[in-house]
Amino acid sequence: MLVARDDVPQTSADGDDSDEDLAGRFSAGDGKAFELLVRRYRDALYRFVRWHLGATRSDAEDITQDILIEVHRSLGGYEGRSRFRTWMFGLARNVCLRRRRAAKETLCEAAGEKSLRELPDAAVDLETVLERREVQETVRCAIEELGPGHRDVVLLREIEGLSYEEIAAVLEVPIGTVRSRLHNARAALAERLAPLARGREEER
Amino acid sequence: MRCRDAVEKLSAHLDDELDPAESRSVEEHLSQCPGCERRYVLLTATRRAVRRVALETVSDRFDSEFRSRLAAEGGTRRGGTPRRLAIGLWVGLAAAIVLVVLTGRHDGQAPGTESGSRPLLIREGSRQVPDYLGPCAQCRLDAPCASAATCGPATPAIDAGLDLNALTAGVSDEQAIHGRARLLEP
Repeated sequence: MLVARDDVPQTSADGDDSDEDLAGRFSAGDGKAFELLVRRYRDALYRFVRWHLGATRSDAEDITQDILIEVHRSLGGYEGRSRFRTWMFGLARNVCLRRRRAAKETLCEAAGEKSLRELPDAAVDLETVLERREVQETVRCAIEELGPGHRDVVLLREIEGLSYEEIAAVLEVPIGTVRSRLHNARAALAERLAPLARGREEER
Repeated sequence: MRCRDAVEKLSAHLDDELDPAESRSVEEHLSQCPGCERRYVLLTATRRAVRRVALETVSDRFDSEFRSRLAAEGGTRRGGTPRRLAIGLWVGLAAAIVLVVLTGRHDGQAPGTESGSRPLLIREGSRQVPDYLGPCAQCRLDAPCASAATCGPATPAIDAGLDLNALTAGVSDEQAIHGRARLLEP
């Protein structure tokens, strides 16, 4: 087999304490534990909000803070029946759903050009910037064009490294749905990337 | 294993979500079928591309802004306090009920309060009830989830089934395996 399988990125890299330990310490009155959880998950929550709602960076940061405030308020009620990150992403999803219902439209539509089409990476290799921008823009558009349910699954799996079981719990869908959404979403993304690869080969 | 079956399992195979027997079957098929191997390479490259694009982080000012907001929201309260207060309230309520039942008094005034001391229930009830105790638990329970409106319908074009053969038509094994991998390498 020629292809090396990618390892799933770790989401709890900083510190030795598990998320559940930190949640327990916070419930026992250790405010520092919450700070560690924030440091561990702020970026993941931000990405979830940004892709789920199609929010601008600024809006996504505001909503991420709303979610973290709600995590802080609710953490005393976390009983450890599920993994902390499953509980937290579920809470984040509920906040996003309330936002969607309140706005009656996605922030992406409201914000127009300022949405996900912003390129995030300022530190690009100048020699390859055109190629990277082209590839990134295509991938970005392809992700945007997925339905929210498919986008969530792709993000939670590819970026945050959640298992199928965890994703099913967060999105409150059967594991079979997670599996089929991932299969379909990846096929759609691959369809968009294949012409890029062909075009590149034809240039050579 | 036929190609159709293998294609259905490639995504789960990529995620190590197949059982060992299924996984072995897919590996075996991939080692014998250049077409499916190309599809698998493309899925791998797609994963790398998605990770590179979507891996954004919050801005530098996020932490200080959040700290301010948390402080403004009363974030100095510790996580264990709400539960302890809730338990205290229930204990107080139970104690007051017992006292009322034992004394047969229903005027809200417990024994020994004539001299000015306040009854246990009121004393406990006068403690500040954390304003976030109920609402947040409610929020989480109230939100209806997994409806068609929230999850969104499956994309018809996707559900119609993609012809992955078409994706790789005209591309040699060498191009598929090395060309695409190079193009999308982080």
